[in-house]
Amino acid sequence: MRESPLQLRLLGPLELVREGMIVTLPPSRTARALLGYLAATARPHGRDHLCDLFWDGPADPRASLRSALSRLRPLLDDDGEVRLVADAVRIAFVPGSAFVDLAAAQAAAADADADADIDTLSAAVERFRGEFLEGLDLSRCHRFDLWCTTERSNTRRLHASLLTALVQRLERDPERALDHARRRLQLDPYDDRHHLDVMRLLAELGRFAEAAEQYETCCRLLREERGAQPSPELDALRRKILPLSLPPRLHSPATASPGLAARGETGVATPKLAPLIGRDRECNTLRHLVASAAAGGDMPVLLVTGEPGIGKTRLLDELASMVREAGGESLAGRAFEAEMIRPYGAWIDALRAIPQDAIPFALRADLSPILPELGHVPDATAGRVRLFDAVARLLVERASNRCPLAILLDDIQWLDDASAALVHFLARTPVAGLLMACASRGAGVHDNPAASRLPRALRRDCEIVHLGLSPLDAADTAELIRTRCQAIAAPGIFERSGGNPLYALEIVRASSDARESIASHSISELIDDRLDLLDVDARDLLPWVAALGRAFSVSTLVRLVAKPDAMLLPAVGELERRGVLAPAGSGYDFVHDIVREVAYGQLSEPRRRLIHGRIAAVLDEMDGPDHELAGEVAHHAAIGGDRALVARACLAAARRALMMSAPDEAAALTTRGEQHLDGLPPDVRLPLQLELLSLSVYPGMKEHRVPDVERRLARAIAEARHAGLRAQVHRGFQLVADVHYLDGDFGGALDRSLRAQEAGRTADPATVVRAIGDTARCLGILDRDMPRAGRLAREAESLAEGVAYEGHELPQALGYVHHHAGALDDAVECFELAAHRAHAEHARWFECACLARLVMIELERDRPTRALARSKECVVAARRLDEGSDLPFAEALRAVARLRLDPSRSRKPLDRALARLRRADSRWMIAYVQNLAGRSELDADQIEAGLQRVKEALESAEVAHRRNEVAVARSHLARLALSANDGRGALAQLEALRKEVADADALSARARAAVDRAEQAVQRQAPHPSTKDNVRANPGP
Amino acid sequence: MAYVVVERTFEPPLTEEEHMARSARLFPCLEPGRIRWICSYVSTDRRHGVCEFEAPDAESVRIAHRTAGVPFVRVWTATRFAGQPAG
Repeated sequence: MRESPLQLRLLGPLELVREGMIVTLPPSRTARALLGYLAATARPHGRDHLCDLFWDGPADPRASLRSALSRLRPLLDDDGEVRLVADAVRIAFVPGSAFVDLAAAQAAAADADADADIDTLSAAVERFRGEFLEGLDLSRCHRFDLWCTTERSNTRRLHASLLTALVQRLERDPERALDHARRRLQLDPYDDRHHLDVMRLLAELGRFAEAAEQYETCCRLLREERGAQPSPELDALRRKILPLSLPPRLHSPATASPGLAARGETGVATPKLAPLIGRDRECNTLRHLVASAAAGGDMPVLLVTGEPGIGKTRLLDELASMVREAGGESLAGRAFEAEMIRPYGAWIDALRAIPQDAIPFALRADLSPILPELGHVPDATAGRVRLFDAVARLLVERASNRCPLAILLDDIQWLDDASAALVHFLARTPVAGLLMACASRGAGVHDNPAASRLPRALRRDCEIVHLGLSPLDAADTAELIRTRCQAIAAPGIFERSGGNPLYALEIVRASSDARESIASHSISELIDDRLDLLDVDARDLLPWVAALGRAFSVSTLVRLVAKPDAMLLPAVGELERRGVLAPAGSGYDFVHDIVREVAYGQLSEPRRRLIHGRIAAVLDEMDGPDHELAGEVAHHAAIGGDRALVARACLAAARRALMMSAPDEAAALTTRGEQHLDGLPPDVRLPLQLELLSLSVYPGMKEHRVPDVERRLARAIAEARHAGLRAQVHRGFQLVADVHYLDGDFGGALDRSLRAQEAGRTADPATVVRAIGDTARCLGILDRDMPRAGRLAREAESLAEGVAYEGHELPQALGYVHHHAGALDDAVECFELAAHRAHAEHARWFECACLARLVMIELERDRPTRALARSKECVVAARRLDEGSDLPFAEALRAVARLRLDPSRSRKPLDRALARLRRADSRWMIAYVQNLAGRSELDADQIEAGLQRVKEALESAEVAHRRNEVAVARSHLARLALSANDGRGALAQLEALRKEVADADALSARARAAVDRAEQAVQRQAPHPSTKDNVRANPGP
Repeated sequence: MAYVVVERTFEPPLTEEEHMARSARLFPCLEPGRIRWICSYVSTDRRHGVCEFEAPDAESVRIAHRTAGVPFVRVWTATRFAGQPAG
C-alpha cells in the first residue's frame, strides 16, 4: 500500500511527516497543541471553544487563534487539498489523504475482535511511540490539559486492547506473543493477569527459570505497591512450573563458585566442608579477624595469594564458616576470566545474596545501575561516587544487623576495573564489623592491569593482612590424602605434587583409577588422562562447559547443545561423579579452574571457534534488556570470529557499563568493538560504527572521547552517503550536532536551528551544516577565537558535500576565516556567494555585512576604486535596513575610499558618517574606520589629524575588545611616534600592545602585518640592541 | 561598560511561549559579546517592550540580536538614573 504523503503522528511526541521527512512544527506549543487537538478530535470546533481551550488569558484570543492557524496551514495544506478548513465560526482538520496514527489504531482496535489480521494489529501497536501528545502539556490551559489527560488514559487503554488481541491471536507463536504480553505488562504492571500471561508464555517456551522470576517480580510488586497477594491462578501456575524451574538467574550468587557456595540468608543449604589440613597459622589469623569484626572493629583487608590449587578458595570457605559460626553473614563473588568486561560482575553476584526486601528503599535508586532488578530507573549521570557510596551505606546497614559481615571475592586476578575500584573505595571507607577478603593467583594478576594495580593500591592506602599460601609439608600432604581417600597409599605423592593439595589429590585419583605411568605426569596430564576415562556423552559435553568459562545452569546447556534435559542429565551426572564438575548453587561449575583449563586445552582451534561462536549466539539470544550477558557474548563471539556480533555485543556492554557509572569499561568496550569493525560490509559496519562513536558523545564520556571524533563522524557520514544508507547519514549528523552541543559550540545556533528537530529525534543534514556554519559565523562576526571558527567552518564545509545546503551561513563564515588569514581572494569569493544567498533568503542584515566586508577588503588592499564601486551596493543594501549602524558604516567606508582616491577631498562626509556611528555607539566600526582614515591622513602628511583619528580608533577598539583594531591602532601610533623622533614613545606603544595581545599569532594577517611594519620601522631607527630588548629596557611613560 | 536599552514591539502581542523562545535564542548569544542582561519590561497589552543590558557598546547588543534572529526596533546607549526610595 502506498504511504500517505502526509502523516500526523499523535501517539507519542507530536510529529508531522511529509514524504518521509519530519516537518519542523511551529515553535509555539499552543499552536502545536491546537494541531494535536484538531487532528485527534477529527470534528469541527467553534472558534470560541478553541479560544477558551487555548487562550484563556487577557490577550486577544481570536488574534492568537488566527496567528496559530496561519502558521499551521502551510504545513498541512497541499495543492488542491485543504486540510485546515475554517470559516468565520468553525474550524476543522479534514485529513483527506493524510494518515493519522490515532485514527488507524482506533480502526484496528474496532476490528480486533472480528476481521483485523495479525499484521494489521502489529502495525497498529508499533505506532505507539510514547504517551499521547507526549510532552505537549500547557500548564496555563487547564481545559486542554484536562482533555489531554483523559485522552492519554484512553489511548493507553487502546494500546492495551490491541496488545491483548495480539497475544490471543499469536497463540501458536509464543515467542512473538511474549513480546506483546511484556509490553502490555509494562502498561499495567499491577494486574496479575498480565503477569500470568507472561509466565504462561515463558513456560510454553521452556524458559522456566524466567517464569519463576516473573512470579517473584509479580509478588514483590503486588506486596510492595498494593499490599496484595497473587491470584490463585498465578499460584497454581507457579506450582506447576516450580519443579521445572532451573536456577533463578544465570549469575545467581549461588553459582559463583562450587567452593564459594552462597552463604548467609540465600536459602541455599551450606555445604559440608572437608577438613582443612595444614593451615593452622592461617586459621588462627582468620579467627582473630572474625573476632575483631564481630566486636565491631574497623577491619584491615585480607589478601590471600598462592598458586592455582594451593587452597585459596578453601581458605575463604573456612572464613565463611567462621563468620557463620560467629552469627554473621558472608557475601561471596568471584571474577571469571571470560567476563573481565562485565563491570562489577563479582560485586553483583555478592550483593545479590542480600534479599531485595532487606535493601533500604532510599538506596535502591543509587544501587540500581548494578542491581536493575530493584526496579528503579538508573540515573546514568549520577556517577560512580554515588554508586560506591550507596554500596558502602548498604554494607554499613547490613553489618549493623549481621555482624560480622564478610565480603569474599575470589580470583581477583580477573577482576574488572570497576570492581577493583569499588574494592579500593570500600577498603578506604570504615565500615564497622565488615571484613573484606580477596583471593588471587600471584602470577595471573599481571595479565590484568586493573587487578594488578589493586593489591599495590591496597598496600599503599589501607591496612592489609596478607596470607601467602605455601605448599603443604610432607606430613600435611599425607594427612590430606588420608582424610580424603583412606584406602589409597600412593608412594612419593608429596615429592611429585610439591605439596600442592590439588595436584596431590589428582595423583591419588589417578592411582585409584589404576592409570599407568602416573609417576611422570604433570597435574595437567593427570587431569587430561582422567578426562579420557569419561563416557562418550560426557566427553561430548565437556568442550561446551569448558568453553563457557564459568558456572552455568542446565538451562543454558540445554540451549547450547540443543538436546533435551533427559539426554543431558546422565552426562552431567557422569561429569559430577568423575570429579570434573561440582554443584554450584542450583547449577554447576568445574571443581577447579585447572580442570577447566585442561578440558579447554583438548579443543582444537577450529572446534574452539565453532563452539564459542555457538555460545555467543545462544547467550545473545538469552540476553535480556539489561544486557547482562553482553560482555560474555563479546568474549565468545571474538573467539568464534563473529566480528559483527562482537561489535554489537561490545556496544550493548558499553551502554550497560555507562549505566553502571563505569566509563573506563565503556571506553575499553568501545575500543574493542571498533577493532572488530574492519571487513564488515558497510550496511552492517556503519550503523555499529556510528553507535560506538555515539558513546563518545555521551555526557559522562567526555574524558574518554575518541580522538578526532568529529573527523571520524564526517568520514562515516561520507561513507554512509556513498553507500546510500540514509538513516546512517542522518544519525551521523545527529551525532555531529550532539558533539557540538556538548562542547557548547552551537549556543544560539543550536536553539535556532536544531531544537525544532528534536521531536523527530533526527537532525536534517542541511540543518546541521547550517548550525555549525552559523556558530563559526558568529565567532567571525565578533572577531573572536578565529582558530575555532576556522575548524568549525572547515568541518561544516566537509559535511556539506553532497548535502542539499545552499545557505549563506557557511560561505559567510568561511569568508571571515579567509579574511582573518589574509587569503583575500578566497574571502572575496566567499563573501560574494554569501551575499548572494543572503539576498535570496531575505537575510538583509547578513547580506549587508557581507557587502561591507567586500568594501573593507578592497580598502585593505588599497584598491580605492574597486572599494568605491563595491560601496555603492553596500550603501543600497544598508538603506533597506532599519535603525542601526549599517548605513553610516557603509557611508564611512565609501568616504574613506574617496579620500584614498583624492586626499585633498573634504573630510565632512566621513566625519558626518562617523558622528552617526558615535550616536549609534558602534565602537568596532568607529575603530575600523578611524584606523583606515588615520592611515590615509598619515600618508597625506596630516599628522595631527591622523593622530586624533588613530587615538579614537584605539579607544573604541579597546572598549569593544577588538584586538586586531587595537594592534593596528598601536602600530600606527608607534609609527607616528617615530615620525616625531620619539623612539621611546614608539617602543612604549609596542610594549603596550604586547601586554594587551598576549598571543600575537592569533591576530589577523592585516593586524600582524601592521605590527611587523611598525616593529621594523622601530628597529631601523633604533637598531641596537634588539627591539624586544629595547622594549623591556625602556618601558614607556 | 555601557547601559544599553533595546526597544521592541510585538505584533501579535507577545505570548509567554514566544517570550521563552526568544530568550532561549538570545541568551546564548550574549556571553560571546560580553553582554549582561539586566531587566526587561513588557507593556500590559504585551505589544511593547524594553530591555536593559550592560555591554561594551550598543553595537554588541545589536550583533547579538541579529545573530540570534531576535528583532528589535531601536538600540541605544543610556545613562542610568537609579530610583530613590520614597519619603
